[in-house]
Amino acid sequence: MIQQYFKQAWQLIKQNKLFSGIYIAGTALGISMVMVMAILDYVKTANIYPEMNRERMLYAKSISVAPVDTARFKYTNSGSLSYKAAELFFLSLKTPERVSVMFSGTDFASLPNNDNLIKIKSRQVDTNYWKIFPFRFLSGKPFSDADFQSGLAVAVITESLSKKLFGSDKAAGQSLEYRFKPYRIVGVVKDVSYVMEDTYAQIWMPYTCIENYDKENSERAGMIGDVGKVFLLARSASDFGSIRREVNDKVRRFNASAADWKTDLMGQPDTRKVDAHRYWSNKGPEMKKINIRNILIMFLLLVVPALNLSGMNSTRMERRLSEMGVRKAFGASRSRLVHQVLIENLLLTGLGGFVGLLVSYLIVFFTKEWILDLGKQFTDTLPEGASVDFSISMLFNGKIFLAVLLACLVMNILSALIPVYRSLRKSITDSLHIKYN
Amino acid sequence: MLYHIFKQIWAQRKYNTWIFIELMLVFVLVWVLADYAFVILHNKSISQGFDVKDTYRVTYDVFGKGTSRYNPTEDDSTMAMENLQLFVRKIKAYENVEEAALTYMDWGSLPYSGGYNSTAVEIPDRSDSTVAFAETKNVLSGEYFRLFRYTSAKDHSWERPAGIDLRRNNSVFITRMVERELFGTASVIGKVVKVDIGEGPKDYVVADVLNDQKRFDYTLPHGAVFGASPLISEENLMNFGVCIRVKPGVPEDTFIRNFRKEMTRPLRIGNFYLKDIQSFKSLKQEIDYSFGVTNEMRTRAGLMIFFLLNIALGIIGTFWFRNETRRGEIGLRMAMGSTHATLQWQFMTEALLLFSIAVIPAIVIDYAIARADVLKLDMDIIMDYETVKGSPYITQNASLRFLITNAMTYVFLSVIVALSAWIPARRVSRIHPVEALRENG
Repeated sequence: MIQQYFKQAWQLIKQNKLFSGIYIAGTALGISMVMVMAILDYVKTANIYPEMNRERMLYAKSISVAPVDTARFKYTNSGSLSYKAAELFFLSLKTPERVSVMFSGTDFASLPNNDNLIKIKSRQVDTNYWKIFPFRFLSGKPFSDADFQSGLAVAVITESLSKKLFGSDKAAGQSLEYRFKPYRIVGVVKDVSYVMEDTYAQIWMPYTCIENYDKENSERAGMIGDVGKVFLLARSASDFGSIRREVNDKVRRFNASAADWKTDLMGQPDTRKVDAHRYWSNKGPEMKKINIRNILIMFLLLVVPALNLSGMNSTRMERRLSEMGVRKAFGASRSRLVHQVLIENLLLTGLGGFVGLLVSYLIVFFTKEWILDLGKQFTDTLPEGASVDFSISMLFNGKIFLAVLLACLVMNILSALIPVYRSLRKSITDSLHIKYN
Repeated sequence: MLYHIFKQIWAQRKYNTWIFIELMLVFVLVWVLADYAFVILHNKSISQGFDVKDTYRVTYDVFGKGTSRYNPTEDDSTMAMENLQLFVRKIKAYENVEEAALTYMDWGSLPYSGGYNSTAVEIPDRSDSTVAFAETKNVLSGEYFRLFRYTSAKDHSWERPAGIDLRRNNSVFITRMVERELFGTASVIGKVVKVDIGEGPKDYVVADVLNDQKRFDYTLPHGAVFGASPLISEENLMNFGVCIRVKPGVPEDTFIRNFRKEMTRPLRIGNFYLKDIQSFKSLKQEIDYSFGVTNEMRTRAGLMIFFLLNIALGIIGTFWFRNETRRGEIGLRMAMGSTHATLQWQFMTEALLLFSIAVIPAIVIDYAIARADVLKLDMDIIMDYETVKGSPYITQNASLRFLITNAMTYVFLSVIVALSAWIPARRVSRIHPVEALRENG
């Protein structure tokens, strides 16, 4: 039966090329915008190289402190975590599988005593970092626990930096300078796309080789500092609750014994999605508001084209009234006719969805340098020479295709249900009687 | 004629409902976008108050102890200051450079630096408590004004402020906006104001009044106070940089490329080295990008294109089908003597009339949106629908702005609607009347 529907639908599409063309274009318009949103969301939250464990990760990056004596002082200070805070609240946790602390920087790299300086992004990390993010090593390996403990000046660099400096990706064993200090290269990894916020860099080294990484600031109980981010890898997402409880417990204990300053983690550690929306150091994102806004935008992006399609559908249904009348007269039930029209429509919507998906790829491709920054409150400009690359797996994957299908269904229901229902309510005689114009 | 078309619309109301709702919805959405665009374009049209064309910022750094290139013999303080002077002199002598000077970079003193420092400006020992708020800019020397061309309100030249030494008898410059807010129309040169330019609130003599300046080119002008910066010493030398102005017409990318290539070596003086050179034009772009309007404008432009395509498609689709079903009528009209032109006109008028009716409820919704004050943004652009008394700017006259932006939206969308209706109308009017009439059977 369904096959029959499809055959008929295909015939109809071929007969009304004009109608089908406009209809498909209208659907594609709505679907493409929604798909752009879906792709961006996917890139920000899904498991993508080398951030393969995002679904079981928690993140923390800011902290706020306020004087205990609220009667005299009514203010709060906020900023990045200090190493002391990271140690106190996160590194000492028992529930997570692994915890890692990361610092970030940008500075010059070069060959020893060479004037050709290249500005690069650096990450100062620990050994857990390599276990949380499974980087692909082209040569060498990550620095070892022993390297880390003794603060050796060793570094892992990317394939592209290795090629730029040494002409090959086998730089392990060679030396380079970063911030005019020598580092021995222990490993070369596959490049990371600029869209990966936590792992994009050209060089990684142990943070124990930076001077004063754990220096305590005497002000504000030493809580505010310059840790870039703390990563917690849970055994599974179901552990998030108990990890949060453990963190909150540590904060509560700290505050109970605090003499001058109380601290607040403002809802952290965050899941990946919340972390992607946390811009301010003094307050967390209002996820409810953000979600409502996004749903509203998606709805608008689907409803405006759906209005077009509804208009077209109702015109078309009117023209097919006599056909429907004849079929009703021969005993077709209303629900069957509704099914058939919806399937016909679904085929058109499906074609529109396909075109829409292609259009959304084009949009992402042509705007890749900035499209991920839309909606952010503060953004970094693209560093010189960096390029934003969306990999094949970011664009072609089950989740994205599922999202297209879903968007098509919503679109279909929005645009066909009312016109079809309205036209089928007419009695058989009315339908048979109808004459164009 | 209009009455006739109106009857047509009414007769077709069942199919018109959808497109009517869409036109109404899209009018409201496009108005929100147009209103924003209007405010931005209006603000952009106001003079910036300074000129960063052909200017660049050169930054330096020093090799510290523990780096491989550190030279301990060059590290005493007289040596360091001499090396820095040489650094500036070499840049000044570089080809195409017209002007080069050390400038204070802290506290948002340079244009488009992102930093912002504000102060209250008061008149000491005056009975009323009028206070103006202004941005502070700290200036090392008069060359600052020659570099960025902040002009005097008196003769609109930058040579005038450049020739005044702000360090002599504690002088400051204020902009016209501060002058207006504090003194009205009276001339204030030589009068005393109390401001905090980094050393706590103190009395300063106003040595000149400068023309109004804006922080970003999409914001309204705001008041500013220019005062002397700290003198350069070994402790604070990282707060300074070298700003340069090159001969007009030297292309930015070649200048930067050549400068890096030819100056990296010569500018390694003692422990100093060239860190970066960047044009103020690109600094402005970065600032606009990182917390300015670039992203917002891109999003809105994208949405605008989306909505326009939608109504174009909607109108084309709706009218196309209607025309197909009305071929008989069209044939009849042609047989009765309607020309192609009148037929096309009729369709376009029909679409425009339908659109105009949809605009009426849309404007009511616009009004509700403007009153609800939801257009406010988290930025320096003043988007609120609020009339500010005495403001010379149209954007701060709520009713005028509402009128202009709705009119803009109406005209803009009318063009799209008329064009979209014309495409199917042209096609259908080309049919031979006999053929069209035959379909009426």
